[in-house]
Amino acid sequence: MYHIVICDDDREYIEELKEMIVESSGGRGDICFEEYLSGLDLLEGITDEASILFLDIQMDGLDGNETAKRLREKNFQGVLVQCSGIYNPTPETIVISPYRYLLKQDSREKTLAVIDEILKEADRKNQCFALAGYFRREKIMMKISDILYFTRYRGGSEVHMREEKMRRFAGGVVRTSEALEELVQKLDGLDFAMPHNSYLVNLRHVKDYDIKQGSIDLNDQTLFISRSKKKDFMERMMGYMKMKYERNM
Amino acid sequence: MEFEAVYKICVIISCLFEIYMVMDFYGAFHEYRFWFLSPVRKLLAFFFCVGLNILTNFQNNSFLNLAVVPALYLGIIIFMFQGSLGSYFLHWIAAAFVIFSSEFIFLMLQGIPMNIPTDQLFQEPFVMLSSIFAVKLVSFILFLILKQISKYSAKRFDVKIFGCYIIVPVATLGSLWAIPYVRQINKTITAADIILVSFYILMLIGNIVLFYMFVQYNYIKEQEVEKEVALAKYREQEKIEKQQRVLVHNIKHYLKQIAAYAAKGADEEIVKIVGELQVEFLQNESKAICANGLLNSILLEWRNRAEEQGVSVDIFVEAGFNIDFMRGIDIMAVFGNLLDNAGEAASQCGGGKVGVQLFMQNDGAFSVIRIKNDYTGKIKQKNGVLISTKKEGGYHGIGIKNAKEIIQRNGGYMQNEYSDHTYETTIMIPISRKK
Repeated sequence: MYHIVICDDDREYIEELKEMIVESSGGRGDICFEEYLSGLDLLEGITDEASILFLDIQMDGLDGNETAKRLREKNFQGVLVQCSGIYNPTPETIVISPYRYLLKQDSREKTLAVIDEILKEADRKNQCFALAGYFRREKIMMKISDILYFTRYRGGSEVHMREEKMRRFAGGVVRTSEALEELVQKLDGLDFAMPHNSYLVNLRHVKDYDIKQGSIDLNDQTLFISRSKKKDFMERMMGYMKMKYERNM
Repeated sequence: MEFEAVYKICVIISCLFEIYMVMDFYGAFHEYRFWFLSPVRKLLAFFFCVGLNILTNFQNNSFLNLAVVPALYLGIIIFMFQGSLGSYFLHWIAAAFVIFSSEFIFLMLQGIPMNIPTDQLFQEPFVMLSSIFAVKLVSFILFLILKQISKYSAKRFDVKIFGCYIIVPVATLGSLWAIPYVRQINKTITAADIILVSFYILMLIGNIVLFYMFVQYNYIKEQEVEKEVALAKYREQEKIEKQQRVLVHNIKHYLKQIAAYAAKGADEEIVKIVGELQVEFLQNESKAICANGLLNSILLEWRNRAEEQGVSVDIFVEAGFNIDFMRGIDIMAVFGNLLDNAGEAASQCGGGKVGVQLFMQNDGAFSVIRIKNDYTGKIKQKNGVLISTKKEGGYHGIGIKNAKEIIQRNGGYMQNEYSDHTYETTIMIPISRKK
């Protein structure tokens, strides 16, 4: 099931896009559309259910870039696609860095191919969406995309999530019953790698690395890369980096 | 002139020379602190350090020398230069090691014990004076080599230029070492000796001045390349702007025509004009595939060349791809080398393909470059370094090494993979530190 949100002030383009999405999906799953004509309406209405968001950049009032920034602040975890009639990105779009840009003037074939990629990315994100964990002996479900990394913890692993999520669990430890080695198996194919025997890192949250210092930055947290794992980790990072357009090469 | 006076002058000059070398070495890896950007303050600090160094040397106490001089070097790097603790420590150790090891190497070669004060080291005055300068010249050469081999040094030359320059200090060192041997043994110092020592000093100054000029020459050369890059960027921008103006003009014309046909109700004509307009858009778009003007012109020029050689080219640049943090000459070197290699290899396949993908990852935190090409022949490796796929050699050798060095300098990581007939280069560069 794809929950697709389209935000554009051009009703005709919304209809055209919907038609192309349905065509591109080829009946691989049910599609539920949600439409908004302005950024402000979108920010008020969008829910966590949204798996893909097509967001127009040039809109009256709150433009697409500002809307995307606020959505990121609201922790939007779906696949963000920005639509535009202008090719050259502004510094703002570089900061937002959506999964894909959809150019309105592109040919129908090209757009269909891009939509296909977007749907596949949504599938990938949904593949293993949540993981069971414990907080003060209470069972909780965590979104994989919220997890920054795991560390070893007695009888399992400790989960470190993004700051906004961790606030809910202040003063306690969120853990899973699986050891790091078991998590490696379980999360295989989901962009996790071990830069050190003590960590399992979500590569999607890596913001920087320093090979000389042997460190990686994940949303302002620095972890170390062990000497013996450096090469393997960098190869895994490369594999993950390439995946974005793997099917196109 | 008294030997004592000549000796003291030589010590003063060698101290001046030593502090200059240490500061110059630090300057190759660190920026001066803001306070020392003023030439007057820099000069004052320099002479203060030289004074301290001279005072220590005049005590003729090897142990005092061993304690004060390294502390002075440490003070220089901490107070005058910017940097991290780790880099301070590393470069301080390197500088102290070079200065002391030069003396040790020289004394060992002469078979002299280390604990004797400098002024009693040699029985023959001229040999001693000559040795003071020879030791400093050894340090000078060692510093030169360190600055040249470290990829973080700001005072690196092109290998050829360095090769040309290093002849001079080596020849000077040889002369300093050899003249005392060929000279007649004389226990006193003569006027001719003093003249010869004066020329030694001139030779040392000459070496430094020449080095400075080579650095300047290298800098001017780099500036010229940067200027060319900037000019190429400007021309490309100008070309695109001109095309945009033509496009806007044509759009106005098309709109007028559409309005006229709409008034007549000639729908078919309107559809035809819209078709033409789309073609013009597409043509214009194909001339702007990347937001970075320089990279855009490199990609377009390479694509034309590769297609002329029968290579099928597929370039994909994600809107938002950011490479602006990289210097123009680095962009030219990396893309120039890798694309030429890929195009050349694919052209030998007969209808070979090259795919280029440039995009961002992890919310714009990484720039990713992928180049995949067909190749024929066998890839040879020597010590893990790729050498060639061509009978005549050359392919994927120096170009890749050069590109890899530039990528590493920019904090990136480059990976080369190949299967039977496909070769792929992937690069990722974190951009957070460059914003």
